[in-house]
Amino acid sequence: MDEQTLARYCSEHDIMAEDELYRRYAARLNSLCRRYLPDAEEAKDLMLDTFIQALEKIGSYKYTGRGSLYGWISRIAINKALNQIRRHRWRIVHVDLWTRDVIPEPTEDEMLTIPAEKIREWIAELPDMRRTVFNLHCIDGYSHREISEMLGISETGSTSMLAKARKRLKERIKQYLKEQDK
Amino acid sequence: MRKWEDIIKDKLEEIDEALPDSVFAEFQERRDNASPAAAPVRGRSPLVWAVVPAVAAGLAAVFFLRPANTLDEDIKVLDKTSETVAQTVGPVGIELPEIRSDIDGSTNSTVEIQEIVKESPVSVAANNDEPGRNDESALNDEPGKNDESALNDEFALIDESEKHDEPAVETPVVPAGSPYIPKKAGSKRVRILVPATGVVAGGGLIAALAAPLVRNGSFADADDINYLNNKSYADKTASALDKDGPTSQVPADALTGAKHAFPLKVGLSVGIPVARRLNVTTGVDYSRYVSKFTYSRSGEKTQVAHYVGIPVRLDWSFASMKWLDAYVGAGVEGDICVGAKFAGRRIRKDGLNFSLLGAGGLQFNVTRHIGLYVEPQLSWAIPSDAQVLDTYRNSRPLMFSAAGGVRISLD
Repeated sequence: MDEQTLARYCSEHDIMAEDELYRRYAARLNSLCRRYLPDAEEAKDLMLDTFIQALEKIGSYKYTGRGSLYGWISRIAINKALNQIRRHRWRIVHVDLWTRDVIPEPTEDEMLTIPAEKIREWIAELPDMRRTVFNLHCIDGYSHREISEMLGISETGSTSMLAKARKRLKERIKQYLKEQDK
Repeated sequence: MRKWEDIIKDKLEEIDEALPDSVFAEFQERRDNASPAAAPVRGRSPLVWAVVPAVAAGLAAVFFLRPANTLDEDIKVLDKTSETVAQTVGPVGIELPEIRSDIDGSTNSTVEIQEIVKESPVSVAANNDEPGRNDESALNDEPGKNDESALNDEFALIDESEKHDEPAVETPVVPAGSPYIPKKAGSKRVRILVPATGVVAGGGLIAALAAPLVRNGSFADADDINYLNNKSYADKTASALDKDGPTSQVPADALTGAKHAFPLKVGLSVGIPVARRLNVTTGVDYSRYVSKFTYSRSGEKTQVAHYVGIPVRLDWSFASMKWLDAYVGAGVEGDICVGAKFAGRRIRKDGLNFSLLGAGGLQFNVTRHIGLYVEPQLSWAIPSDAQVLDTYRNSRPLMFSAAGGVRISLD
């Protein structure tokens, strides 16, 4: 069943179509939610809430090409994740004593040796805002201007947080590679 | 060569963890329970559930504390001895046709029934040329005068030619024998005054509980020495006492009363997250305790004590929106007196004291990092030998207060 047909059946509250929608995108959506909310339980709740909201608003979905249905659902998930992150008003201060990034970027070959679960684990260790900015910019492709509007921060702040997130990830990658060499 | 971030993106998209069947069952359950109205976010109680009881309390206060005021509808019976035509007017300036009403053939008098509605926008014009006809020039308060007139059926009808451009209203049918002019629907104007108490009841509980409390002095030995020594003062410096010295005051200048004003407390606090909805709140509080002591001879003297405290509290945020957070918390506060004066002279201060705290509050997030908070607090001052001053705190160890301040959210 193509996306357009699936969406149409879902808008008619066809239970089989709704189950098919879940089966098709749940795992992938859960991975997206885990990137924003490292806690597995929170990510699962976010994923389920996203599906429920998507089913409620499926009537407003417009097919624009292959993959647009997942893209539409993932945007709902990202917005919900950002709302949750914005609601978390109190944060732990992270002070970087040395902010200059002098770590060389890892090569493609080095990156291919690193398991995906490790990368997800390192991203999850980042502070909330840095992780969110990294996900939005590097994984989901939002510009700093869009990120600043979504998160209510300045573009400079977004750039700064991304730089700190990259620096931290490179440190973890470098440390991992060093341990692997031993 | 690809950038390392692109490789990260590809690797993350490769992750395809199969979800357990229980998650699918949970999805089906949520889907089946989902109603057209949006359900609250799982794990978060909508703030509206905290507001609903407050609104209900306010409405209950409105309806139960003060009855509604309604306009009086005066029906005045005027005794006319010479006229045989009764003049009737409608409440909204509609002139009704003349009718003949015989009240009592033996007395040969007529009764004018006039209905007066206050604040009528249209001044009622008499049907004839007598402008003062409808004035309340005479009131007939004899019972029975107004209950015998038989009104014609014409009375219930409005002369179409006399009708003004008024919105159509329903005219009730007048039962036969009724002496009263039927009121037109919509002509009654009812005002319900919203009492100030209704508004106060919703949010004034804190203010009511925070009102200054008065306590009669209950000192067994009502003099300066014993007052200042009641917490085992070590140094009884004369400068801390009345100018005539303590011995001359005993027993002439006895302490006859004490009033402790409700303390003023302001603070600056910081919230540090420790879990998803748990935060440790700490900061600095400043409190000012003012007490007035009345002596039999020297009159009233004022004691002012200043305290600085550091609270440490664990808060649980049970409702959170972009601009508003609601929370409850419990903890402990340690404070110390940093200055105290009695009748303008410095006196010995309290040492380090501890209080147990319980609080609930609302924080209005002005910016992402700065919020203004209002916190009703319950605190219990732990009895201690370090308390040497007689203040509101030791007269009422269990104290309710309302604190407010600025909170910085750390990121």
